[in-house]
Amino acid sequence: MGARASSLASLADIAGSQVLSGVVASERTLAMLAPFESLLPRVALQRGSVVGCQGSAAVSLALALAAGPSRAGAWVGVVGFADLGVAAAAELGVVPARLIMVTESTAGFDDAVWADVLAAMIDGFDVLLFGPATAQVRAGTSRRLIARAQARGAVIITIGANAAFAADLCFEATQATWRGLGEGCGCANGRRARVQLSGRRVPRPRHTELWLPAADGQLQSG
Amino acid sequence: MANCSRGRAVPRIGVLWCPHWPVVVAGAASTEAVMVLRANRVVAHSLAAGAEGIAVGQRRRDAQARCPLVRIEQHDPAGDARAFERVVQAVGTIVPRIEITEPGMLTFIARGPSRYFGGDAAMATTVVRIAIESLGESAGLSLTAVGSFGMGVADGRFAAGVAARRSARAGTPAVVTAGQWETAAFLARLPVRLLTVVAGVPAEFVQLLTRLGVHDLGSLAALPEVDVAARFGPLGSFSHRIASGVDDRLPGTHDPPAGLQVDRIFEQPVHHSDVLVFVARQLAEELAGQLAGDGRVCTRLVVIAETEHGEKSERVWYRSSGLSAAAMVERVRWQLDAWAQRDTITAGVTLLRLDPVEVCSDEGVQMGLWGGRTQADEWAVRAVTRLVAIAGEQQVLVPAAQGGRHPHEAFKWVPAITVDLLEHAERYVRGAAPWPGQLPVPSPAIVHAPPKPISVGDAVGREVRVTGRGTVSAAPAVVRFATGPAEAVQSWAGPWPVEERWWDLARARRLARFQVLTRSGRLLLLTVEQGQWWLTAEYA
Repeated sequence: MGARASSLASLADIAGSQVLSGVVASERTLAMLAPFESLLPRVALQRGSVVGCQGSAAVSLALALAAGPSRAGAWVGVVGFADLGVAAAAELGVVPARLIMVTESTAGFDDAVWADVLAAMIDGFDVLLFGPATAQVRAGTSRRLIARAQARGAVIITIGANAAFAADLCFEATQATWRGLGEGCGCANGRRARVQLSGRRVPRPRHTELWLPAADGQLQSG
Repeated sequence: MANCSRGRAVPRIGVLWCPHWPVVVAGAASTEAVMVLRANRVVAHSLAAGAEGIAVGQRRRDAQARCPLVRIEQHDPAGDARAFERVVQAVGTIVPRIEITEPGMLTFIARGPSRYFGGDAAMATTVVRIAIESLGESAGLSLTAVGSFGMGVADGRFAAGVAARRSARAGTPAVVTAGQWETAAFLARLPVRLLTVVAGVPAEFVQLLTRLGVHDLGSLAALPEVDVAARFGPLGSFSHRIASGVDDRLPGTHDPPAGLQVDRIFEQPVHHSDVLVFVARQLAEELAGQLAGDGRVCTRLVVIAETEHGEKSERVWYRSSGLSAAAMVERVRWQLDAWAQRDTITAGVTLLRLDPVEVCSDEGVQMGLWGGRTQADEWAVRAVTRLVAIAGEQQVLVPAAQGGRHPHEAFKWVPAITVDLLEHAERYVRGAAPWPGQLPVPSPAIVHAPPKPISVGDAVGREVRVTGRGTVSAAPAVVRFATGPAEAVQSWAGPWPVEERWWDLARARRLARFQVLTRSGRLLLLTVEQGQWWLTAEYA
């Protein structure tokens, strides 16, 4: 009996205990981490949508949003953001084995190359993290890419202000305070953030308090 | 099913095969040692490299140890397919209905052409001559580095494949006399390993046969078929059948019901291959979904594209283990690329059709439900191959755990082509043992590598210094960045001294780290080394 219980526990561990539902390609939504449930009652990202992350905790927010699908088996492509900290991504729940980064060459990409790169990423990965460098894509190109993401069912998550890829849903950390630091003592052991959700389909902005991240590096509801 | 397929006559098949085609495409000189890698393993090599001990399947490092001067090329299946199109076209002028198994290998029904040219041997010689001539016309492609084309004619796909393999070594076309007993006699003394190499039987099964003392195909064929089927199931009876020279269609192979084909007619002619590939993907998913619903998979697919002016491209693609949706899309891309390269298209494409002409029951190639490979994995791997082609191999990266005290050392970005993406290996797992001197969790979400120079001042504007004993000259009060406004410090922690490799004078480092929270709410990780302050990471 004990062995059975422990094997069940390890199964739940593999599945990622924080994730509410698995990713099936035919489904129109992607799972999210449970702490987001007070913002989105169905706790799911609509496939084909563009999600913006803004404010001082934009990077952590984007990683936390990508973590749900990633744990459930989706691949995450990062582009235009060469400074990503993989350790933080792993702590928030993004699986490093399914993380792909595309960096700009030293000469930079021109618009045609950007279009090809982003299109190939949209075709191959379920979740895309678009860094600030993607904002330079021309408006016509970005419209085509968004249409492609809708047809293909990928979710684009933009980090920071991005005029090229206008967000359907926008997550913003309006207040964020780090805890644990003193005058020459202690160490940062968590950030309390007030996260606001706004967007076209959200009539009134919703708010929630999150630990982004908590002391163990994970996302927790506050 | 096995009984009804037994009675069917085994078709006479011709196979034209260049064993190390990627090396030919890489443009190797006749005595040059060249190897082609995919996911850090050798997929093809030149004769000179083979003579040094390089073999298919070796790791890059082992191969380099055997032959340090070997030239290394990355595998590019799309480029291989484009280059092979020349051969397909040239052979297509004398042989109808060619199936392309993979770039470098094509298969066709030999009966008609053999009659026309007066026998299998004459036909085989002509096909090889035409194939070699087609390469001669284009600059840069020479077969001298890998030998020559292998050409085999025999009853059934397996025997013909084996014959082509032997012919590639010998340099002359190999023709196996028609008839079941002659085919079985030809195969009898060959090793069972060929079941894996030519017919794609899982290697574990062949190893099991070897352990049981069945070393050649003849001894496998000598066993009673019923016993082999009872002991090894469908895989065993399939292997037994091909070893006996009976029939080499996969068990459960049959012609699909009519009306399974999918197509798209474009009202507006399409001029970009990218758009077509995108539509092909929808069609392929639809088709694969329909087939999977009945537990079947397509093994032979006809792809047809037609332009407004009636120009038509039609190719038959074959894969013994079945074509997944992603594999279908890849083949459509190869075909369209090759078609556009010929430069005969005068109008946009108005029709794209995928027609499965042979399906088989889907055993063992189903996607994993729990662990294993998923459809998402397959798409992602193909996307990475494509991204490497667009952006360059140094631009597409994956993380590998390496461990270290500094944020940029915990994971290292390595080029995606150097690793096998689906090998869910240790490289992603951070070591369970702690690194002394590692930063506390949570980790910074932005890591600057290399770090950016900044300066940190105290309340009266002097630069803050850290003494050799690890004390600060004054509390940090202001952080000045190279660009942008200075920020006042709200709270801070440190210094956390790090002394690395003190035993090695050249690589020794002494530094101190600080966490600094500015008034605006930014949490920074700063390092001071030999009096210079650096911005190493940010907790964003």
